[in-house]
Amino acid sequence: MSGGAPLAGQSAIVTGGAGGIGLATAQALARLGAAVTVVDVDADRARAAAAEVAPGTAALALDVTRAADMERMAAAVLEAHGRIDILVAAAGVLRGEAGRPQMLHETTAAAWDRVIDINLTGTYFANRAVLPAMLKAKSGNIVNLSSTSGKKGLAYDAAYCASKFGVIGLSESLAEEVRPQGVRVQVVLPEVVDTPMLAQNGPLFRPKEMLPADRVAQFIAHLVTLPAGMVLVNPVLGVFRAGRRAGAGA
Amino acid sequence: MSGPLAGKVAIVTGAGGGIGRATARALARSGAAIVAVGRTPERLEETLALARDAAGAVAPGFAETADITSEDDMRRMAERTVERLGRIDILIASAGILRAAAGGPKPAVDTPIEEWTTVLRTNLRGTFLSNRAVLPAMMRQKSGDIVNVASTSALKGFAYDAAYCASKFGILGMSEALHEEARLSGVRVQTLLPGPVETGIWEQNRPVPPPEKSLEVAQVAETILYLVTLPRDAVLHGPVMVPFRVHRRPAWRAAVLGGVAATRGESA
Repeated sequence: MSGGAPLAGQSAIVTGGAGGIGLATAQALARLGAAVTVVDVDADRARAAAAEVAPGTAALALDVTRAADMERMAAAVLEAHGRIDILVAAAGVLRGEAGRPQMLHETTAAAWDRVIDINLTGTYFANRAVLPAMLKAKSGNIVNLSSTSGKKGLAYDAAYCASKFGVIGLSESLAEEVRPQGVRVQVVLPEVVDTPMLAQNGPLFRPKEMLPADRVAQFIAHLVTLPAGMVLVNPVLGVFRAGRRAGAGA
Repeated sequence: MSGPLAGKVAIVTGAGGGIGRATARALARSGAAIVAVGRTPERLEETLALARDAAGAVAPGFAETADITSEDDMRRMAERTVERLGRIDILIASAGILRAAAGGPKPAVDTPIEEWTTVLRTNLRGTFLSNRAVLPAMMRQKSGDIVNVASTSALKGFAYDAAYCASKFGILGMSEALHEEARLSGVRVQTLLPGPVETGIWEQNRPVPPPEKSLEVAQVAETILYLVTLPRDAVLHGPVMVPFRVHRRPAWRAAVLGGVAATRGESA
């Protein structure tokens, strides 16, 4: 409907921006006029993704599990653009180790740590790093990625579910805390999304119906362009299974 | 008529004001023909005129004077829509009340049974009846979008609002059940849960003043428009929308965090 670019002049950071929801979100925000910085732990993938997003898109090879890396991220974006208007914390993993889904008692502590470190602590580090600039500007939009697994635990997914429940707790708490200073924190709970992350499940458990990553990206773009006076609380974006009976597959 | 809803027919209950009126305008602006449903013909005509202004063209559509608590009225609403406009693509069930009697909030123990019955009959049974009336046409078409307007009171009970909260919890329960059922026929049912909205509904709360911070009806209307224009492979489950309050800090904050905040302000 609108003619102009709603995010023109804004600077956006997308962690996990080299693939899946992150890449699709980087593209969606760039289409709306934002100057996007793609952050990914893999330098080659970050560069390739940035080239795919838009000319002039910056790539940073940084690790969300390292607080110092996230601080470098914020500093680099501030140096380049002078501002951070949007953070989409999309970096995430499904499993900490290769292989099929496992029973809780079979999972290693290292696999648990990796999922929590990336999904939950990584979200915390990314949020924490951009907040000083947003608080100073008295404005900003943060969107964190949770999941329907952030509301209901699923078998064989304890670490992932724990991390995504945690992202909601973190985001709700932070939203209340920084709202007086004009920083809007929202968290999205998508159902199953067609991304490379699902491959961590192995060939098993590949759902027939999934949301395209761009569907989630468009919704995130909607969240950061909402009118200033409103906020969507923990929205659940589901697959609309028209004409499918539960359990019928198809 | 152009726009994402060009050629679509939308029924809006509670169209005489508030969220319903604003939503009729937003849907008309996006190209939909509007059937404005409510109890007061003059108010419905005003809404239709506003919808036509928003559409910037003479969009088809009509006012249907009807009571959502009447099964016959709801059936007639659907029949006339199909007769005159050929189909029903969208239902926005936004008709609702906060209280049935003057006098403001009352403890449950002092609530007359009549009050309870009227609130439940209007909000919950009325939403059921409007949904039920449009479903045969939507199921025949194998497509349709229903948005039921509930409230944050559908998730959490509030003191002195037992009937209202019960009705809104009920709308969410009914809508979730219907979503599971109607999707088999390609009909998407979504429920919007707004926090306080700037509408005339607060007059029913007197002498208690309206909430300090409310959503604008236009914000609610735009969110409803977003829901019905979502790509058909996705659905938003019970989205909650509340005012984003950038306002004064709690009194204790300065004492606890004042030094930290001040330091950050100087050094940043």
